[in-house]
Parts: sequence; C-alpha cells; structure tokens
Amino acid sequence: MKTLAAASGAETLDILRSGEKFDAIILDMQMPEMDGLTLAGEIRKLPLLDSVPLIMLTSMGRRSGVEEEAGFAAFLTKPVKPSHLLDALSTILADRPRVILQKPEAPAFDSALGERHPLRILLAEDNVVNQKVAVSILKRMGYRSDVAANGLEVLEALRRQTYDVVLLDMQMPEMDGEVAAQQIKKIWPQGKRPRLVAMTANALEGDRERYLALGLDDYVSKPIHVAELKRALEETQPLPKN
Amino acid sequence: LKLDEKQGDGMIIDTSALEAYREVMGEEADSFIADIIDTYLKNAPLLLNAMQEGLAQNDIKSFIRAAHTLKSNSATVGARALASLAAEIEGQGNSGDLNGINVKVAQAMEEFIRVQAALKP
Repeated sequence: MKTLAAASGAETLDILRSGEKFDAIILDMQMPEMDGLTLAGEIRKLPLLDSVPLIMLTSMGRRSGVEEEAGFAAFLTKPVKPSHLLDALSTILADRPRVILQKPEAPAFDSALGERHPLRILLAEDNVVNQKVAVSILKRMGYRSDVAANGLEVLEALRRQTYDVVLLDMQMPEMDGEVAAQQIKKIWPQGKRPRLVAMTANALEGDRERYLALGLDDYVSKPIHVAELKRALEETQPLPKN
Repeated sequence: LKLDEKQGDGMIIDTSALEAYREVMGEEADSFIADIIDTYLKNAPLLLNAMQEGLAQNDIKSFIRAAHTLKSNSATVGARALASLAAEIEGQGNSGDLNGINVKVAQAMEEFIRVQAALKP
C-alpha cells in the first residue's frame, strides 16, 4: 500500500489538484488553518473526487449531522489503534474497484514495465482492431505478445511454450474464452498454468464477478484502458522458467 | 481527424476514445490512430455483411458475433451511436426475438456511412 502524507489542508488540495489518484484519504479533524471538515468539503468539490472514501480522525466524540454531509466512510477516535485503521481500510476498499478509472485521458504508463516485470503474454483475440490496439499498447509498455485467434489456437500455443498470462477475449469463434479457460484449467494444474485475464466488451454490471466465478483470475474491459491493463500485468506473477 | 462531429441525436465520433491512447503511444500516436481507423473502416463493412448473411442464412450465432464485434470496434474508435445500435442488435439477437431486427441492421448500415464520412482522412 502506498501512502502520501500532507501536513495541511492546502497541501492536500494541491496534491489532489495535481491529478494524483488515491483509493482513500485519511484526514485529521483538528488541523491549523483548515480543519478536517472544511477540507473534506473542498475535496468533494474537486472533479472526480466526489466519491473517494474519506476517513476522519478525531479526538473528540462524533458530532452528528455535519459530518454526514461530507459523506465520511469512517470515523476513528484518536489515538487510533492500528487494528481499527486496518479494519476501516479493508472494509472501505473491499467495496471499491482497486483502480479508480474516471477519465480516459492521461493514464500513467510505464514504458519500462516489460523490463522491470517481464512476462510472456498470449493475446487471445480474433478481432483485428482489438488485436492491433492490444499488441501496440503492450509493445509500448515493453512487451512482445503472441496472438491466438480462438480457443483452439490458445491451447496449441500453451502446449508449445509457457506463457505467464493469457489475455482472453470471451467471444471468439471455434472455441470461446469460457470454454478455453475451462480446458486450460483442466489440462494445467495451478502453479503451472498462466494467469487467465478475461477481456470483454460487455459492460454489464457484475461482469467482473461473473468471470471470476467462472474461474478466470482477473478481468479487464474493452476498449482497453491502459491503466487497467497495466494493473492486470503487474498483478501477474511469472511462472518459474523451465 | 475531424473533431466531435455532431448530428441529430448524438455524436457520430467521440474523438476522446482514440485520443486516450495518445499518451501511451507517444511519437507513434498519429500512425497508430490512423492504422486503427483504417483497420476499422475496412473491417466494419465485412461485419455488416456478415450480419446480413447471418440473418439471411438463419445463422444467428454468426449474426450475434458480428454484431458483438461491430459494437466492440465501434466503441474503440468512438463511434458511439453505432456502438450502441450494435449493442442493441446483439442483445436482441441473444434474446432470440428477431422481430424488427432488419430495420435496426439497416439503421446500423446508415450510421456506418456517417461514421465512415467522419473518420475518412
């Protein structure tokens, strides 16, 4: 978990205005110049920050009413016990997507990711437009990827060589992603099989849960978001080299 | 690229869709965007054909898949109206009730002509 500390309300707002993204913000009620409540109100006015979870630390008891307006996710009384903070954070973050993707513009990308975190990637995608988009982005991140156009080709490719991750389009001809995933899990045991990342253009609510329930390890939506793809790759642990 | 062409009920092309890749593509961004548009423009008529063929041959699986791919690719290039039309067609195909679907396919073809005009370099 990465944390960034700010000593005042003004400094906090400066950091947030710079575009830095956070999964949660912890604030102190009693700060000089700008108190926690005022700061929370200012944070809520910033674009894209109207729903970021805010955790308030206070040495006073809760005051009902005012606090609710800024929509705090949790109140903790100082001195804060580490276990209470952990509980609050895990409860709050478990309810939210890990990467906050609000605007398509300017997702941070890392051209050296492939060097720092080398992976053997198989892209299972029959659609030429998506193939080009994915292969080009992966290349810019420092990855060379192989392409398979359907589930049968995926199985063939996996028999030929080891891949650390398969980006698996769920709607392919011949053998679709769902069937391919089941086959892969049948043939290769855990620890020997690549991480399976579902890719789908179905923006239906609950898709992610659906694919995880089907036994896929992760899910990214299409059109591809650079930050989302990067996260999925970073969370992939390479298999041992044989 | 023409910017945000608007007509009637909505945007023909939302340029922010492909522009979102500009940062990651760096100095290759222009050629990347041109290549994706070119591939899309060549591929979409094949998909529209496959949809018509699928309907004519009563091959609903192929019909749905072509609509799905058209939806996905149209979203990639920012052809929002066409993407949602294709999504509707795909959904109706999946529901099994093909009543009036020919009309929607014809609408998709008309919309593609607008998309083509907006995207052509």
